[in-house]
Amino acid sequence: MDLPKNRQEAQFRADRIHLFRDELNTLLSEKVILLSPAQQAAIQDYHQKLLGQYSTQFGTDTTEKEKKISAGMLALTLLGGFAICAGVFFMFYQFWGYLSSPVKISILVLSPLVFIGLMEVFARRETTPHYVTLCALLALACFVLNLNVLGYMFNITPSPNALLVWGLFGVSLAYLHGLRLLLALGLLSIIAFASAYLVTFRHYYWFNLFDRPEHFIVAGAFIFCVPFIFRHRIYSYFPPVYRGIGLLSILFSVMFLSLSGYGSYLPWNSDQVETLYEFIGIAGSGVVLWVGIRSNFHEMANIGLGFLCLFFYLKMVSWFWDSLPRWMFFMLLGAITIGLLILLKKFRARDRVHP
Amino acid sequence: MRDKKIGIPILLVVLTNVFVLIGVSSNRSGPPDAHLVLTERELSLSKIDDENSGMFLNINWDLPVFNLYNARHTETEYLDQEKLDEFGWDCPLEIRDTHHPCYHYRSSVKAYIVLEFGGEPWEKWLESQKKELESKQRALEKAENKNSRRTLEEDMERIRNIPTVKSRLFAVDFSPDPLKLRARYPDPSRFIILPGLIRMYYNLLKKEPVNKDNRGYRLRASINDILINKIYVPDEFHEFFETQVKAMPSPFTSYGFVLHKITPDTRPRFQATVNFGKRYEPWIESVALFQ
Repeated sequence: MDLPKNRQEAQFRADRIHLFRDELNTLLSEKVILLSPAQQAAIQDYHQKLLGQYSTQFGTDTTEKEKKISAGMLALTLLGGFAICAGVFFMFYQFWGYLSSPVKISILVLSPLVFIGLMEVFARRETTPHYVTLCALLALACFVLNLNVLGYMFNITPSPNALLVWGLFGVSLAYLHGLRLLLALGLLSIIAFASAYLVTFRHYYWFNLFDRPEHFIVAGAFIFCVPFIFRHRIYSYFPPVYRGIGLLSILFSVMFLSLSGYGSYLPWNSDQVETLYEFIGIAGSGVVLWVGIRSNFHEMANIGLGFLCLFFYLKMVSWFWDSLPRWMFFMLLGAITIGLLILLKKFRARDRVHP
Repeated sequence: MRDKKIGIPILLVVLTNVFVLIGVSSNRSGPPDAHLVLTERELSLSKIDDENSGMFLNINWDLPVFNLYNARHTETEYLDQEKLDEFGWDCPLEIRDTHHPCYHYRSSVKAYIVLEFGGEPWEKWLESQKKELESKQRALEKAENKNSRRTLEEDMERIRNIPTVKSRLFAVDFSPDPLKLRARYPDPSRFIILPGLIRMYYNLLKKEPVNKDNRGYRLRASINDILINKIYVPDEFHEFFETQVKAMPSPFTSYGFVLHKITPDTRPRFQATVNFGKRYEPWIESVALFQ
């Protein structure tokens, strides 16, 4: 029997077992198939043993009720985590003026290490990831505080290198225990660093990293390609995070440039740049949606669809908002949407006939 | 495998902190790049808010142009080709119209700013203060309304008193190369070099004859700010500020002074010896009551 490599795989298998059970019961009650009591008992025992093993080893949810509670716990972990991180920041700033420099530096350096240690303790004791995620968030928050406060204490010139270090820290914590949130935060920080670094090549101040959105396109493309270069055998749920963050970085930048072309490197006037990026945005979102559906990459399909709708609505507003009365504008929008629905239905029917 | 992986974040934290502290030590090693005794006129005591117990001294600086309300000037002269070449910026000195791609791109550029303590810029500022006083005097002689006369007299009183509180640090030059600046301004007891932000922008150039075909825009620079605009007060000096300085009433505030509280007898409460290191990052060496 092959054991799942991580909690997500175990949960996926547990969900499949529940669905299988429900469908098997329906088939048996409708007398589509017949299974002897011994055969049913064998399947039942096997699945029960598996679910028990997964619950013990991975903390998977075995019932629908448990799943709902887990979803609530995840939301609380995120909210609570960010709240505690903010609390740690403000608490330190409240009291740091009363501490001597050696004490301050010791607290700053040791606090992320303490939370890394706590993370390990919870990882060994708990099967669910909530406390581990909380400790990882706190470790990252303390590391951010660490460099910020040292910068204030010693009057250090702000540098984009801190973004790289924070990003690498977040990613390393993510790979320690398969934490998607830390991976996402780490990748965002690395993308910000890449853009800031590219800005400094022309002597511009790195803090103006958002002035050149094309840097985010380059950085986002690199992040998007990472899971195609490095296979993730253990954390198979990490590639969607890479693809998602990479695509969001690219498409948000394209959208920004389609609205304001001044920050582009292209040697054209802003109107021409905006037109070009509008076209790239709509066509690109369509391609992302299509590839996402074909390759079964859900995050790509969702992001592609989301941005396609966004670009579509922005274009409609830009063309028609001023020239049409509002009722006509929204009627037109609705008519075009329904037209697209009819078209997609035809494609779906054709796909069924010729798969 | 996990035991090896845990080494990575731990090593990151430790190495980053070691690297930062080595940088601090390097900045403060050897003779400082600049060494000055500044008063509360140049370094105003800052308290961020009640939920932050850290203490800082804000660096007050200006261009040598008088302003009654202490609003900092930022515009400098038009740039020349030599200055532009220093920055390696590939936009021209003059453009014809606002459709040029360079017109709209106005990001800040990192550069090093030279602040001069006293000297010629201070004399220039005093000159502009004198001109302002003369202008107010002329307006007073023409004023008929009682309220206008009172306002002008109050303004003139304040203009006379401002030199007692005005910072004597003035920005005199900037460049991407700090070593070139130090070679140009070698006196470490008079010139401070600090990292800062310059914004380049195109300003309408007035040409004769004035018509819509004879327009042009010329590149100009403004000094937006210095990057290290406040200096942390080390713990050993906190008590001095809390017990001695804050006990003395004063018109000085976090970012300057309260205009109507200045008198001819106003004096700064403290002075601080400040060093600026090899990386142009400052630290406070000592503090004392103003002498």
